[in-house]
Amino acid sequence: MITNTIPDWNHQGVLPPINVNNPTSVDRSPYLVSITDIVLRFGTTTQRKGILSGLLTFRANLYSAGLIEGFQWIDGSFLENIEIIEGRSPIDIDVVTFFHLPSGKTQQDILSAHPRLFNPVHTKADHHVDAYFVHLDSNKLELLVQHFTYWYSMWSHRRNNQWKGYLQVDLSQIDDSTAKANLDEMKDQGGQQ
Amino acid sequence: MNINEYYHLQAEKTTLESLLKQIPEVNVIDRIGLETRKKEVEDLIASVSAPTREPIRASLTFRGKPTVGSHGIFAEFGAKAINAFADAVAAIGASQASSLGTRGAIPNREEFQLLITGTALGSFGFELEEAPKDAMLFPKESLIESAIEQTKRIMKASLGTDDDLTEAISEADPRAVETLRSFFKTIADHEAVCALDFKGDVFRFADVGQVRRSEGRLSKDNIHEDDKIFNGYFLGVLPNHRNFEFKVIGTEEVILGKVGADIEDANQINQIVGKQAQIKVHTKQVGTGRVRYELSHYSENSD
Repeated sequence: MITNTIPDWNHQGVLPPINVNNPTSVDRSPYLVSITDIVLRFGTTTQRKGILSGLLTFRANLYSAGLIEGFQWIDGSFLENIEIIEGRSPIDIDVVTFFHLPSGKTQQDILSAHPRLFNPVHTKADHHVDAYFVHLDSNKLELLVQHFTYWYSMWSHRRNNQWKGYLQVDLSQIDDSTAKANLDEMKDQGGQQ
Repeated sequence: MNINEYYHLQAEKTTLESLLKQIPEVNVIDRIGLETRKKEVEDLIASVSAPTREPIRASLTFRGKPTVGSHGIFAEFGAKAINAFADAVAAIGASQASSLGTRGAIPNREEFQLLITGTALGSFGFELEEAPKDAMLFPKESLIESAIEQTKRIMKASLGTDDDLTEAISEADPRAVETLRSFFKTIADHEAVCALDFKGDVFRFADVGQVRRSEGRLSKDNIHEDDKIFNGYFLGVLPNHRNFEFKVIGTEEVILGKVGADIEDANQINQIVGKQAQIKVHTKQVGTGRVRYELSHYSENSD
């Protein structure tokens, strides 16, 4: 996958919807990025490192449950300069996982085996992740489009209608191991609180 | 929560209901997040009272020398012009409720605060919105609505006849009229014109000459105000419209005017109809237009 560079926050403290420094490039929201870049870019405080750690554990649990193919849209105040905008740390990270089911399994099989992994109430408590899911193998393509449209419309604006960007990252066990190593190293080094 | 956020939540609830209707029951993983989100949205909606109305909005745009098409506006002019307009709206609004005095702070200035919420394109200018009182919802009544309405009315009348303008400024304090004149002067001095879009009705100056003429017509030299005393007798009063007629003794003149706010019960005047009385009126006349009278005091003559 060819990834984009995560753009800097604009003066409003959000990711710009397009790359203003190179507006005719393919860089536009949702930016296709690697999980390692997310860790390196946003792991700036203890709170943020804790949320990233939760995200990696959440993703590891998805792999254990058999969801190894797909991608995630990542958004929320975690991607904003919320420390400056609202004078607080982010509480969690918003994630929609677009997934393929492992062959021979149904959604019910997987939910029964992992009842806490798919309910946002539990994922927030367990992993600091506000998690939602969209099954990509649906034969109702119109419904899939509606799903995408809903999330895009919800996530491409702040509540004050300000347009903003967000990220897309593949599910990838290999990338996650690198990201985890980076995060562990960053934790050891401390950093801004 | 403001009304936009409230509507967004309601729209999201409808969308989620529609999505959930279409997602098969067996797709339990797809459904669980959306069901949780729907519950969150419903709880949020239930936790606030429904906003009663939207904030009052207007857009003020400029054309002419200080603007570069629909691209931008020179900052120095933009700041001056928007400040002068905000002052005019506040003064005209405040004068609807009380006298402003000749100097000092505008009474209840905070009731007429405007937010700049965006840039208006086409020509170039500003989207304006009434500032929320408690950073959340808006009260039922807006003083700004009538303030902007009246400001636009005077702007329109400044291009009309002397009688139109006399009528439009009849209830505005002289200081409020002066603030609007000052706004006209600011834009004319920079060779600009403006357009005010409020509630779908647009007022616009066609050229700088029009702005100059309007500025001149609102000047103190062109607006004559006085207090006068007349003797005679009332012919009658319409208590709800608060209009009176008064026959001046020794002349054929019949004065038609408004009963001023200082006289609470206008109907009381009907009890002395036909009796000799003395009245004090405030007169206002623009240019050579019709004189407008406002009754400020009356007394029955004993002799």
